[in-house]
Amino acid sequence: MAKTVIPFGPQHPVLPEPIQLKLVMEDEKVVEALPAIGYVHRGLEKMAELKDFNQTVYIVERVCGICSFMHSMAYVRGIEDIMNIQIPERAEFLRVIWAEIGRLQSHFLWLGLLADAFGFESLFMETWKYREKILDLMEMTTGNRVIISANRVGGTTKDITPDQTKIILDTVDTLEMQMKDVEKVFFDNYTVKQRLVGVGILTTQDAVEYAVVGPMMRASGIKYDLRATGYSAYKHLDFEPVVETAGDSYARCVVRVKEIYQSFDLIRQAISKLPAGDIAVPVKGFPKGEAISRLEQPRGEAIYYVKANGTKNLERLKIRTPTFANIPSLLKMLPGSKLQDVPILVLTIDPCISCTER
Amino acid sequence: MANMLQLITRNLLNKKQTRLFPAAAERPAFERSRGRIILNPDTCILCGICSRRCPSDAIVVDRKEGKWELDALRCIICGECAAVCPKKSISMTNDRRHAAEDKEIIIHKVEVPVPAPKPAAQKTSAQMPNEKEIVQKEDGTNSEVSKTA
Repeated sequence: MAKTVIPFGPQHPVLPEPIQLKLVMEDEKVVEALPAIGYVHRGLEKMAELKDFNQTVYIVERVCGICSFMHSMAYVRGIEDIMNIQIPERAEFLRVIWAEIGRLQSHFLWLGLLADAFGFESLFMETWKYREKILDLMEMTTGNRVIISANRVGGTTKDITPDQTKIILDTVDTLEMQMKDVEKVFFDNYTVKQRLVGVGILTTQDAVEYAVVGPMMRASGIKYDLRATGYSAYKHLDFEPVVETAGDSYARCVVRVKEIYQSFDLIRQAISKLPAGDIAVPVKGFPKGEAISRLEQPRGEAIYYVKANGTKNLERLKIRTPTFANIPSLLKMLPGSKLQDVPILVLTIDPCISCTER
Repeated sequence: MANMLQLITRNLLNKKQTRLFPAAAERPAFERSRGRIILNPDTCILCGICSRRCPSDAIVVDRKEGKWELDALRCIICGECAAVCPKKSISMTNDRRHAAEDKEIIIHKVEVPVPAPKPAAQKTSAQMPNEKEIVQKEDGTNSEVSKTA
């Protein structure tokens, strides 16, 4: 049978960021997928060596336009580890609150894009309508919607007042009620299930071999969430990872929806336990040494390696983002699938290509 | 099917979630929304700390000529300059800026009075009697020593 090569991307309506997959097809079945990345490479790791270690917080936030807060959180935790800075408890809790709000807006974005991928545009608009309320929370507390610049070495730059915590809790309550209606469409709708159930099955064995991270791993039955290790203020919060066993796209959708509810719960817990105190400690001197910090971004585990040599510039900053770890599993799932499932499969790994190619 | 129909009918009966901007008024900005960076030239001392801290090199401070320039298209409105200014002369407004309409780079030239150079300490014979000079001793404390002694 003659093979044709269809280029999927870099411009495609379902992709949030450009990635090219050359699909080698036989009739309607994909036989092989050849990726080409590099469309959004900006050289940010090199730029971190040219700027002050305080200014690098602003560079690192702009690695991704969706999971931006957690990049800066991982970086400042690395520098604080090197310089042995003990930040106030209130700053830890504030960081967790913003991190969970960031996770919420990332998962709502993903649900909308998934609905758009199988053509369900009204559901896409509905989900993003709720996302707007979450972005309003971010703007109310920090001034910006996604790239919030709320972290600095030694703590946070802004505080959340008691009035604002009340508004956050009210919004979370309203959204939880509204989400219960929307989740029924994702879980029980006949056409949605036809597009998602049984598509792109990744067995537990494959998930371990291909070293996937994040909701993809948890949807294939592996119970591992970095937040359960208790970094930052998570050690004071009650938390259980969400696990599904089916390993198909439907299970990944279920995991992310349940993580939305889990984030609502974590925000409530963090606000109720928010201690009083300062939000930052002053930082003197330059860092010297190296550190690794890991945290759970919405897409999985991100690893930051920071190496400093006593001057104001860093010597090396290396970032391993979760989508980079998930792309090989995409290349495992694509062969054998039909052409109409390709957009769904590309979206179930939650591709954040700007993270992959900072 | 029934679930989505329920959502759709609810959306049809509720009020619109979108605004017909620019015909309708814009949503008022939040108190902490990021707008523009402005300088109060009366309190600026041209120390240049804001220029060194800016992550995108948007501020240029010229001490000799008394100029403080902000390249508004480079500014990322992070607020570092406002946070580190020792005299609190820089502040951030919360009015939303809309897209620039022409390609001209907007540079704010603010004339700041150059602080007069401090008079150098000189030992001259034309000094008032009983004038005391503050001398730092070896152990770091200051003590007053009479000059005429």
